[in-house]
Amino acid sequence: MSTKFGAYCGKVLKVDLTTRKVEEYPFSDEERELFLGGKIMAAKIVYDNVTEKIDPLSPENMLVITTGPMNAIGAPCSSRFNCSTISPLTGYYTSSNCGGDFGLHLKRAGLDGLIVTGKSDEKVYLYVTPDGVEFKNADALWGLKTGATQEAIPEKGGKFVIGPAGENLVKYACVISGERAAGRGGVGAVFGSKNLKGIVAYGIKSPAVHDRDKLRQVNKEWTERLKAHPTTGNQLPKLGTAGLVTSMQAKNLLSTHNYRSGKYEHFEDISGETLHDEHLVRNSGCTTCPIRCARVVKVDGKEVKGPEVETLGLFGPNILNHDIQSIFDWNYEMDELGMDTISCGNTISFAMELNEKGMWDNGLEFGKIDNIRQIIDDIAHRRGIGDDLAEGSKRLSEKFGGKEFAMNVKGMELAAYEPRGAVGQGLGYAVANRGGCHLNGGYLVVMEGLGLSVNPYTTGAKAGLCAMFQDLMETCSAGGNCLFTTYAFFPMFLMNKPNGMIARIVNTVATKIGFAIALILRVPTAVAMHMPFNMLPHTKAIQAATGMKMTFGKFIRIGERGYNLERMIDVRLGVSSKDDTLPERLTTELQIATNPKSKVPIDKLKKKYYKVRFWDENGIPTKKLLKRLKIDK
Amino acid sequence: MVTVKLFGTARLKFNEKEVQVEASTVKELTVVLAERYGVKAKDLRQFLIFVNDSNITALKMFRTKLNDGDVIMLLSPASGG
Repeated sequence: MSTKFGAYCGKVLKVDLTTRKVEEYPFSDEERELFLGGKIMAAKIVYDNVTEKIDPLSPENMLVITTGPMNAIGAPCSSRFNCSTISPLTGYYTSSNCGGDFGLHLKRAGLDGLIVTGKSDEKVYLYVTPDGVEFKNADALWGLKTGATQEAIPEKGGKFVIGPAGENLVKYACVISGERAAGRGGVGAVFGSKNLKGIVAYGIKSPAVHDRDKLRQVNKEWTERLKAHPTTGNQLPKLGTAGLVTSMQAKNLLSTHNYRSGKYEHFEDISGETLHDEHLVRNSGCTTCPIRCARVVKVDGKEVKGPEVETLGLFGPNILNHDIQSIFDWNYEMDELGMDTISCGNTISFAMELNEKGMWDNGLEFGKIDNIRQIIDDIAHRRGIGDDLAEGSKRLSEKFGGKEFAMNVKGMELAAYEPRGAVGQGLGYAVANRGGCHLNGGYLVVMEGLGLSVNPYTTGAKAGLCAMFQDLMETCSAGGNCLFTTYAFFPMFLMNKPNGMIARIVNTVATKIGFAIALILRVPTAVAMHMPFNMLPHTKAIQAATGMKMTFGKFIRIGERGYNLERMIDVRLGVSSKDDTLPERLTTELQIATNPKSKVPIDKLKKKYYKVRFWDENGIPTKKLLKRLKIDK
Repeated sequence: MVTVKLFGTARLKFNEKEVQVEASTVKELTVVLAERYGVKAKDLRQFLIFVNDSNITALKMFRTKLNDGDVIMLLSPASGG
């Protein structure tokens, strides 16, 4: 198969590990225009193939690794690739995004995507080149950590591997490329269940683009804009995501003591400022990224990737730990073992509260950190209590009780943002397709305190804004770009002057018109038009690279299609309104005793959200909507 | 006397963690700090400013009164992750 569009390879391969058959998977140009690439392309493939509930760790499950048109063509922040599957953590659809160089190599190997099904009868890794797919014995790699595995694989190229956690089917095992992780949803366990240690891709030729000169000009302007923006050009390069800790503290958003509070008295000890002043070796980043938000720190004298804000929050305030070096050590070890730091930290804090309440005698205590390093290793190898902890907080609550303070949605653990300090973020957690994910939930916390200062407690417009940002981020990711590039949506004059008159007007108006914005974006005639001004460079870049006509409205519509497609996979697997909720602690207990609004009014928010989405009262997309979005004919 | 804690890009720019200042309003505070750091007061007003855990946007902006013992946080104008 080939394609008329630039920036695509026009080829997707399907590998059956059981039969070792490799064949081309049909994906048409019409589908490329509708689903673009990355996570939405993957959702289309899963939707067409997983037609009933399956055991995520059975050979019937499929791994769909996809790239987007922005990968490997010189666009900024464009090394992000996607790995989708049915999650062993949630039982629903999950897509996990990674910034390692594997995606670039996969595309240079001539593939837009790689589908892996079945189960190998021996331990293997795959070697993908323009010449095809080779099956390589992985007996010597089994048991190795992710760093050692990548070093031991002799073939050159981009590598995407699991560690012991994936081999031992830890429900939140991740897959690592270089130092970056496809972290969430347990995709590493699906690799392990298939006896697949990893995949190596190698190629040297990027696909041709539609208009090289135009693309070069767009990329240049885009890079300059990223460097000039206060978030991507100043805050993130200087302080990384760790720089959020102090902002979260100020705004009651820092999950503390298993989400009993949004503030931590020792927050400064684990802040981005402390990391910068006392521990930073240098900043770093994904290939092709001008932002460079990653931190390099030292563990046992070795220079390693430092923790993101999520890990600092969940292994810091959430377990009452203010020893930042301990978090560096554990973060590095979890990457080496191949485990999601968010789910791991959140599950440990839940176990601490179970122990505190006398519901499970497990030796874990808030503020006690001397046994955490061992527990992490025990989880990855399923030893002792590690075997229970490897199942995640939802299954733990089913065994020991405590569902009301088990901080997950649909089985996926929440990130480090305490949603009672930003109720729109709470809505996002509740309705996110892959479970309690801050990003898949629309990341409204940026509007509710971290970028703008929209009232974090009002429900007005939050549903509309949530849906709009979910759709926006969906398409951004499908293109192959880092989600940080969506900060371009927030003009510099707003972000630079948070106390200015314009920002204050926007903060007020945003609570009144978000619902209307979301509706307008869904009216077909409005979507078909160009917006009077274009806030996103992505549309120009996609148009120059592929030759597809790309308006802002079409960009948003692709995201809406993707989001609903993922929802329909989940619906098929059993999701409905009953699952779009939060742990009771967040909906019934006040975060601040003197503030009656400091809890998430989830039922009210959810009702509005379903209306904006054109879903029925049970959270199911209507047939009319699916037809309009060309998901169903 | 109030305590000003600098965080984010404010700390990196002025290379100071904490400072004690005499000021009766937030506006006056920015003038005093501007002199101290050799910048314009209007530049300092572009940081997020919290007085005892409350954003000044929820108080009386730069007219917010300060009392002895108040703790003021200066934060990056924009953050994200």
